[in-house]
Amino acid sequence: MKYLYSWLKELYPTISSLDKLESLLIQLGHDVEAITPIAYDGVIVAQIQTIEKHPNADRLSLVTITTGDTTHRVVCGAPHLTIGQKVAYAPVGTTLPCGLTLRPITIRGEESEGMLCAPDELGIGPSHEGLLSLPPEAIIGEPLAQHIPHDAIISLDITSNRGDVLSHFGLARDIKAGAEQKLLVPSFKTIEYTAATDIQITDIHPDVTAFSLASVTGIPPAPTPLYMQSRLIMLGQKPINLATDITNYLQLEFGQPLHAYDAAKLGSPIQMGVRRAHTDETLQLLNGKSLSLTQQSIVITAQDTPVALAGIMGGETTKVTKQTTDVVFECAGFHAKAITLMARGLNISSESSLRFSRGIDPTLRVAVLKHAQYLLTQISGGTPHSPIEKQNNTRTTSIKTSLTFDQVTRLVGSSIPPEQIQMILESLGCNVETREGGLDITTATWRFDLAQSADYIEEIIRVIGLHTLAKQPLSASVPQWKRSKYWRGEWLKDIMVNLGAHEIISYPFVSGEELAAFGHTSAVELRLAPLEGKSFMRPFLIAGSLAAVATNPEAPSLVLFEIARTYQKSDEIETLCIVIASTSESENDQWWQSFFERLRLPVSSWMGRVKEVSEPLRQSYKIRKSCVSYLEIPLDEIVGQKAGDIPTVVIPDLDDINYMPLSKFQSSRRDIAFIVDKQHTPDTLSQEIRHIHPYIIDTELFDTYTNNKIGDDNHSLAYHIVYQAPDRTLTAEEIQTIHTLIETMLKERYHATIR
Amino acid sequence: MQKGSLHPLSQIQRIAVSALGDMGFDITEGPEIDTAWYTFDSLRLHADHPARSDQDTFWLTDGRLLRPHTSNMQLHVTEQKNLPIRAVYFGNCYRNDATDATHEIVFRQIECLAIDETITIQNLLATLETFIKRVLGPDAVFRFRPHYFPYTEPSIEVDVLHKGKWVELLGAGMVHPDVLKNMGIDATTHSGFAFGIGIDRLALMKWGVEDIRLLRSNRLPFLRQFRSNV
Repeated sequence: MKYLYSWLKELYPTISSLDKLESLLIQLGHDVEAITPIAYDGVIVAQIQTIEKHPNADRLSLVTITTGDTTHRVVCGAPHLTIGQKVAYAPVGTTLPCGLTLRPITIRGEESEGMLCAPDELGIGPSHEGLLSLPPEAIIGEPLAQHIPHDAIISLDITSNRGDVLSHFGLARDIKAGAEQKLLVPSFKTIEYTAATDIQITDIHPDVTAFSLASVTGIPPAPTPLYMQSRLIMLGQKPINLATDITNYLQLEFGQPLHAYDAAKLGSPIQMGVRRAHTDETLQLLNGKSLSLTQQSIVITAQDTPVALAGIMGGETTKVTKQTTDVVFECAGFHAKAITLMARGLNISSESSLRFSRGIDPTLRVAVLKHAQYLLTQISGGTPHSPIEKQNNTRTTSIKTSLTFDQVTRLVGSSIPPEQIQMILESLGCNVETREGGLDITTATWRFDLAQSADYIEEIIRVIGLHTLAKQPLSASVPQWKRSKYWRGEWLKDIMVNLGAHEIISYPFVSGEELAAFGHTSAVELRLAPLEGKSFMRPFLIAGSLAAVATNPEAPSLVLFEIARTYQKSDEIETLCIVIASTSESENDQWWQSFFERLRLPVSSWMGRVKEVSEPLRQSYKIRKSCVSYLEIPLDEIVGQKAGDIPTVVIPDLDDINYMPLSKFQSSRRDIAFIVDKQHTPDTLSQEIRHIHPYIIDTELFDTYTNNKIGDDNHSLAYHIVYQAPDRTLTAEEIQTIHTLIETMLKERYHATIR
Repeated sequence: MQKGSLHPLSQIQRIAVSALGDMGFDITEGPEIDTAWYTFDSLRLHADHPARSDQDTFWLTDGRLLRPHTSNMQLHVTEQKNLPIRAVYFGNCYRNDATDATHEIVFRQIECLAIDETITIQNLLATLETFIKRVLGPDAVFRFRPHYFPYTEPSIEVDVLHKGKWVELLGAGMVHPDVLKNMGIDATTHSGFAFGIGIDRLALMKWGVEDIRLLRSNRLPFLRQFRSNV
């Protein structure tokens, strides 16, 4: 939710700075997503004097404005301009919040001395439909900031348990508790009533806890004050008319949704109620949609006709308009679950339903209703009528939770003074009674998330701040992890990597065709296919491995492996799959042989477990390599024999890897061959080469030999070097420059002879 | 012979699991395909919780589901082991999510659970600190922030400073008394903590991998970049 810094500060003036506020919000568990400052230095109030059509553009106007002492001519694209209108004028030289600095400009042949601003250009709202319209009392020539003060929009990620902070007041109350461990109490305006209400409330549904109405009659037309309009705009809402704006404003201030109806459209005498909808009823909503109601829908009715969807949205036919003279404000209380289920069932959500779903302080309702009447009559006029309310018999027995100081110490790890615990809980609005060794707590009327001792301990820690707690390591314990099967699997991975294999991770889903191709008739089945056509959990890994081979057609040969789960009806088995794809059967066999030898397994019997992939199967995976063989077995069968061993596994250093985002641009390959001392291994040299330049994205050793011609201590190495830039295709000259750097490095650092 | 490559997720997983192993957390195995009881109800994610809908969770035709988090293991661990418990478990998790550069339907989590007579929040904070410094390096800058999860109370999120911005790293908390009750453990005599981390996003952050889907693309130009000194 978005909050205004100025509004929070108005409710709790002790906030000293935006920075302090930010760290306090984090401490209290309200994650700060963004803070957007709003400032418009240099923008001033001006008045439109003349309006002409732009001679060369249909949609533009030439406007003369005055700032008191001077007049300026401005080209303007906004509709609905009127002479005498007060507007926000940004003179030449002004830098707008978007970063744009205005210069003298000629638009379609006409010069414009600055700009008239829409709300979005000032950073105070999304609207670009028209200019920011200032009220008649705005003083010409004064800075706009005199009328709309500079501010900041604070976006918070409010956790789902905290409905009570979905308002400026609710958040300010939490901030005060965090800052000084004292309770912030709201101040509502009250009203002297001279007129009684003539509204009647008929039946109310059991899911409604209370239903309250209050009217104001004989309202003279009046615009919404600028402070209210600009706050609504800055928080992403659109000002509509005074009565409606007051309801939206109070929802943002106190978190209590309320709705305004045009009393004249509710029938006479007004009889309102709340009931389940009938299946043949429809309701035209304020968002323009027409809704077919179901028996799950709860509706507000007037003369038994639906006029609003309870707790979610008002109806179109009874909305307040500019012509409205009599208004009925409605405030209700609902069971949170009823609104949640209805909003989900109808797939409609609103600011109002969000708040009802999370629970609303029942003590707010009538106070907010009266406050709305106060604002409307103060700003505009009219006669307020005393409110009417109907309640359902709801259980009001408050539940007491007992919290012992020992419980706090046990969970936190150190003791917190009892007086401090009491003060914190009271600052959050809880009612606290002391007793021997602890407290009996009644939760605040707005905190539906506090029920158990652990909940209160969390509150205490939140207010104290997690950062103030000491860190106490767990008692020492014997590390025994190395004996597990996981580490034997990792040891096996190291062996395969050392033999040139790459580890892959495949999606664990297969299709019905893949099951059939490998002779399976059934598998664990999903209700919805996570990947297109693949609605079964894989009972084997080879399908994913073959797909991975097919993904890499450019590699002349490759060895891939995966250690992952395969899924049977009642079991999940850790499985190994190795696949080799090349164009030579002997190359494949050589790999298998060295692998089994490395594991000290009997080669001939293990060779018998290696399977060839048939040509039709290769074709179905679009594999063009002619020799593909694989081994798939439960991991236990290959590493289980090592039980008891504590294999050494290398813990990699993540910082050794220099990742380059894969480029969409073409890569180029150059080869390099050189003779170098055997003490320099192919891997060391490969690393060295890669670190020369970020455009070297890969090195592939493709030939190595030793013989007496090059000297017994030397070997000859040949690499493919792959060059690629993230933003363009490299030129031959650029590649040659980097390639020369490699040669120089090999010669100077390793005394290599380039061939 | 030139070395191949160990998958980036395996590399991170090794470090994370060995960091916890050194603190006495024992590797525990358990199912990815599980029931709603272990996955949701026992963890206070009740019947109307949005995470349970078809839009979020993959359900099987036999009524079971693919776990959306490793926390399904919490009750399995307490069924398998005697107190005190220090367990680490990890593996695939699944969410029916629209995929994009930062969202995947399959991802990996690592989670640990400690339950004993005297486990405190201060123990949790110290364990988190050791873990984060082992995985991200001794210079990692991080902060603890109160949060909300249904199955822990108090709940904490940990943010890490990455390129000048705070990025959410992992979720943690003290095991909720109701969850302890579901484990058959007396919440008046025992307490515990748990924390879990998604390692796919960690890989994106650590190396600047531009798209989470590359992790399961199995493309050699991607994998070869993770050739390391294994």
